[in-house]
Amino acid sequence: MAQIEFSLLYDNHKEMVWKLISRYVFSREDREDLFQEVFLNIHNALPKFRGEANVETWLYRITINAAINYVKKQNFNRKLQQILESLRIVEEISPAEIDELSLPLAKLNPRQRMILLLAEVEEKSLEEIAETMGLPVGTVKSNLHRAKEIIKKEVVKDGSVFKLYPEVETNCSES
Amino acid sequence: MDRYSSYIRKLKQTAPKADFDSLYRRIEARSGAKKSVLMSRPLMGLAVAALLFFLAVPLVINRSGPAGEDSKVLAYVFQNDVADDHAVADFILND
Repeated sequence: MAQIEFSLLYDNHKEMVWKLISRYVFSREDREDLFQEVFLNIHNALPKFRGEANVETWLYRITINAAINYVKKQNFNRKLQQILESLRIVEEISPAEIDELSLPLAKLNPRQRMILLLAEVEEKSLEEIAETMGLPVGTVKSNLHRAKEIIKKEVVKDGSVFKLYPEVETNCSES
Repeated sequence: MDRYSSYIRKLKQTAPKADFDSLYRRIEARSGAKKSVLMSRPLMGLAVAALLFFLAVPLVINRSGPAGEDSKVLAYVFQNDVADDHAVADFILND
């Protein structure tokens, strides 16, 4: 029974999960890893799901938690890597491929990045984000404000994003 | 439209392609692997309980026979001591 529900959930929501995480992490490997992580969590949590919450909200919650934990773990590993490199215990490893469009997003902390994506790209309301992430609306608002400031600063910095996507630059100059 | 809005618009439009069938198979394989570990947990519990049972049984049922009790061991010693004309007690006291 749970297996059937899982495949249905997968079919109905795979695109939504993929879209969200593919803007949240930047390399193909990370995207696929995180995607699997999310659906494994859904698979494991499915027997406990009693339908009290909206399915989509429930899925968002699992996706968001998995994504934030994934990036935190990555950041921790990166710091560890830096320490090991500085101690010359390991050789320098080239950083994961980062799409230039994702570069400004990479400047945000995991929570800010998720809030910005939910608010601006997924067009969720502050209340919806607060409910899904289990945060006060005020915290969501202040994080969003800070995230916007950082992104604005990054996109005007040297226009690196627009070098790769000239059509965006064209739209800018039009406005 | 400012650069920020253009950037967000571009983010919305960007969606890398995914091979959902292959991803599903990998998820299935990983969930199956996790399941088999979970499934073996009760068996592990059962094995540990059986081991503890076999270790505890001799302590409860058979304390190395009737001579295993302290009082009986002492009774046996003193009985033989008397039979040997208190040789054991003399040996201990004289030593």
